[in-house]
Amino acid sequence: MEKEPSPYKKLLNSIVDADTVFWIMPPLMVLLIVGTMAQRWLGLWPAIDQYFSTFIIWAGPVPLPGAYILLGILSITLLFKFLFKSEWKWNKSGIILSHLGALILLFGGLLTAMTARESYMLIPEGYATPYTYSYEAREFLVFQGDTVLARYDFENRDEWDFTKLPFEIEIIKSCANCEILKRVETENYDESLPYQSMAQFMAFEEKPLDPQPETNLTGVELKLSGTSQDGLYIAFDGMPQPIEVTHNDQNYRIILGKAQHLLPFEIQLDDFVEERYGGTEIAKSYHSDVVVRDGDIEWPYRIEMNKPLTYRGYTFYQSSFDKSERGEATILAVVENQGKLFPYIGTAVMALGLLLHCFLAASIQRKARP
Amino acid sequence: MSAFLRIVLLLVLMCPVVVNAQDIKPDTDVLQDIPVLHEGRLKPLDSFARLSLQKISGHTKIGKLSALDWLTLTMFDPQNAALIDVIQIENGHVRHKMQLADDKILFNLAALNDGIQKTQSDVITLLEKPAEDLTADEKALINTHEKVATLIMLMRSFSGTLPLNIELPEEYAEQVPAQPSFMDLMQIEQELQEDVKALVSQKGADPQNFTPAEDAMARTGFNLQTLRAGGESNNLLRIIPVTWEGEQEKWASPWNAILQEDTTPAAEFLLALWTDLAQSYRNNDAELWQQISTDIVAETTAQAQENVPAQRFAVERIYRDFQPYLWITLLYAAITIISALAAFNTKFASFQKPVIALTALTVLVHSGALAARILILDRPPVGTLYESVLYVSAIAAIAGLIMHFAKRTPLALTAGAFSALLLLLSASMFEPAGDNLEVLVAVLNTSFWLTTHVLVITAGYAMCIIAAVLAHIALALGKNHTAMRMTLQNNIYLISLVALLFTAVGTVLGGIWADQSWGRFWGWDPKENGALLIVLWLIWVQHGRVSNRFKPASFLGAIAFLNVVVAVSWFGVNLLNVGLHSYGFTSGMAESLIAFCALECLLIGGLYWRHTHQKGAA
Repeated sequence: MEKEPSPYKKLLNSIVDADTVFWIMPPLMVLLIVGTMAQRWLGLWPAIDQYFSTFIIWAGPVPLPGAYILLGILSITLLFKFLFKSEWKWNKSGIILSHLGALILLFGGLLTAMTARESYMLIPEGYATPYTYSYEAREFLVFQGDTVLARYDFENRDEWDFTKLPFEIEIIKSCANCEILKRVETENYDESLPYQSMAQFMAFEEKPLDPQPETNLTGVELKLSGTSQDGLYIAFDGMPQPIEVTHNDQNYRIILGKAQHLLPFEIQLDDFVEERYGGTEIAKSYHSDVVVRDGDIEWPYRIEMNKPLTYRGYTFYQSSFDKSERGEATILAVVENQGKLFPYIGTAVMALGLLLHCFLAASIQRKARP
Repeated sequence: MSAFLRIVLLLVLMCPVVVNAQDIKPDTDVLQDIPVLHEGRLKPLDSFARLSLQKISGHTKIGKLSALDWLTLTMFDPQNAALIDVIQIENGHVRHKMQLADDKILFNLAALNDGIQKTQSDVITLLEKPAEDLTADEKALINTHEKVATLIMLMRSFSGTLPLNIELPEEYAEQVPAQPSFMDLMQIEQELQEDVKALVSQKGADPQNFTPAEDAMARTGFNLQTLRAGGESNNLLRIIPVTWEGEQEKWASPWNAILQEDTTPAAEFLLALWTDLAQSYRNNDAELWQQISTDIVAETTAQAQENVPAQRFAVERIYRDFQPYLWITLLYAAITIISALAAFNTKFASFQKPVIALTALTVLVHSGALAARILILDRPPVGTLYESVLYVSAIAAIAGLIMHFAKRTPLALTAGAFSALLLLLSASMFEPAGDNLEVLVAVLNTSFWLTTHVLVITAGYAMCIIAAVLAHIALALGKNHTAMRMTLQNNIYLISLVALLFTAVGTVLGGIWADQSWGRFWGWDPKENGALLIVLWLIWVQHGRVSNRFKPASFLGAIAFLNVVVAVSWFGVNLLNVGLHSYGFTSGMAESLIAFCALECLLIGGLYWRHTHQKGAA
């Protein structure tokens, strides 16, 4: 009499069964279609957040599995199948390698999702900078002279603690994406209030977030007390002049802007070149001639479309450019990604596996032919 | 627009009538290899003529005039060219609005004069509207004005060098040749304009206060000003190599060269050659025409900063003359019918060998056409949606031929030819309005990734399509063809594995390209998701087969449905007009795609039902 498999084995068998993949694929495909269609109406990033970078999708009150859960189940199935149920035979080698390739790709995806950090650099021609800027994150900074006295993440603005500052700050209003209004045209305008600096002319109103996070205009309205220039101020992303006050003969500056990250080296832009096809406005190529300066070492490099610069774990891509009366500036996307190698390895392994599987399947059919 | 029209009408009045269009029989073929920079690419004048005529008239010939004959007439004899019915207006609403005859669709410039003037303000208003809000009639009206603008620009190409029919005040006439051109008048232009300015400040702008001599001077000044203004924006016909300093462009139009302050003797010499050519045309001097044409080709090639590829030009001319895709489409239609007859009807069994030879020949011509595009564009032939359709159709036909020989797959030739035929018939929907031999935007302008990612993934599409067509056939086979169906089922399984290989590898290679371009391997962009959808579908079908969830009929149904999945993934995602990959967007084909998907669903559903309700069906 055949022995009844243990519950553990039963569970393992059901996890690694081809049936699991068969049932996981339809919801994954539906999610892919719905999430893609949603990009048309929601915009790229909100749709990605809502459908793909999530564990749960809410269809009204009904929770449905998001991409993380579905891909998680798929990864577990592949892992268990590979570790415990692979048939180590030559005629199964294609399948084993294909599954391993897919597993490497999924693991690389997980690592990328957990560790990758994206930011950008804007460098005018002839200038050098060691700073990158976040697309999404904004920070509220208080400087004493040229030293950063306090740094606050805009996202956690409800938890900002100003008690350690030598003067008082009270946040009256904030918006992640602001509409700028004329102060005198606002509903609750009161000319007796002590508006200072740009707050005398400008006010904010909240508006929906832009699908492109870097274009959101973040702003705060605040009240300063205990300084030599107390009153109501505003600060917003990219404001040309910071709030400047004095306290006990010390100068303080208050800035709201994109979160900065300091690189362990700096990059200087020598020349940005945009080449167009003759007689048209169609761009043929872009490139930035830069100099990488790390301590005493420096060397030139040309960053082009499809030819990034990689150094000390950072990769710099030609992303965009800016042309104004002040001159040309390059915009480089900067990515730190620990999982960068996995797609390359996964692709090679999977391609080899599928190729082998095709040959083996054809060979089996040929042998079976009467 | 109105400025252009005024200028051309001015030209029409100012240019002397020399010859009639019917009398002109110069050998324009000698001009065909003159290089011209057009839409970002150096091409032979013959191609430029065809594309310009096609844009304006919808044809590549007008009556007995070849495109090059028409262009020559337009450039050198604008007065007669204005009387040729060449501007195509298919839209009845536009014809009605312009008060044109409703029984024809081709009109000459002179007949359109009033209509263009009347609708000019409407077009200015329409140009303010977002393109997606324009109705078909509004788009047609704008399109008509664009055709007129293009024609006028061509007519004015050499207006700076042609003799003008104007009467100059005596003191100026002495300084220039009789019947001077704009170029001749440039030496007195500054003096004349200063005199006109002084006259206006002295007597005011009302011509009634002028003497006849002053009036002639003021009119000449105005005419020169108008010609200059029109010339400054006339840069369509870029046939003069830039030999002067400070210009980023490598090719200039005659007007660019005329108005260039620091022009070079080389450019002046070339302009003089063109002026002489125009003169020989008007004098119908065949010998001189021939000689100057040869000189222009040699001089232009010598002056050019870049290599003028004579062999590439020859290939381009042959390609456009031969129109290979028309013939290939007809051949695939014939192969589909003959191979199907040979497979099912014993009377036609003897056609089997000839149809194999015909398929091989067609595939050879098809590959030749793709090779010609590679040679002309100097890049892989898959940079646009249109090009990818041409490539996928070739791969489908080649795959059919290989399956016929390697796996003895029944009806493989039929499936390959039918897939290629359907794709080529649909290609016109994706064909760009102007030249379908296009340059690529910066991010796509990389031969390495076009060769690896795009060639691989589109080969995967071809395998999916041929597998789907064979699955349709297998589902449609009656109980008398059970053995054929079994063989087909086995071969379809293998083809679907190959399709999975190409689409999966192609998809991840796309991710690697994205990683190389902007540091993001996977961004859930519609184009990426579309490619992934095909891979997931194939994985689902394979696992359904392994787990026995799919019986043979269901497996065939799921493979047949690949046609819908591929259509949605390949073409549908471009309709969304959103994503990180901001290229290849299309519009106006959503209805066709929906109709195709609906028909396919009905067909597959019907075939599946019929198959499963046959007696003894699996």
